[in-house]
Amino acid sequence: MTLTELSERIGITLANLSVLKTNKARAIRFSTLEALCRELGCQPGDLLAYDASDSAPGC
Amino acid sequence: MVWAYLALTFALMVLFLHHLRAVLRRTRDGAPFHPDNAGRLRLLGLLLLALAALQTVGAVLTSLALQNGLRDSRFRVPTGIQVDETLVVFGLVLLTLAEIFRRGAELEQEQSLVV
Repeated sequence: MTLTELSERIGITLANLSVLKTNKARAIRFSTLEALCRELGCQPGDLLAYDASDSAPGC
Repeated sequence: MVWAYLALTFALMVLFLHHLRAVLRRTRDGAPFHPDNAGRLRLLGLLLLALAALQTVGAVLTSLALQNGLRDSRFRVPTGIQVDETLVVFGLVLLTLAEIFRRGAELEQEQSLVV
């Protein structure tokens, strides 16, 4: 599946998918996360991980 | 000196209209919270405050010149500093709007990174 196909199936633009892919996203909607998991056949934990070194102060 | 005062006032007004037009163009193009607009609104506010200051200075200089000319007559020219409060208030309102638009630009930028 290409990125363009994936973005069409998820319902977000290719630009937003690129934002997600390059770790530039500030937040993700649950609907987008659900669609990603559905299309990629995975769990949220397969896509998201917590990295303490990346946390902003106070988080 | 009169021509310099008039030229400066005219220049400030032209600058004001130029930047106001740019703000309206960005807004019409669907990007009211573009970072440029915040900067322009701040400049518009400062221009209004500068116009108010220029008018005050012009009024004081005019009074002094008239007073000097009427020195040997029985007429007296009112002196004192007069400020156009309307310009000052609108200038401050624009500065406040600029800050609001700056925050709006930040929120829009953040929102664009929510996928």
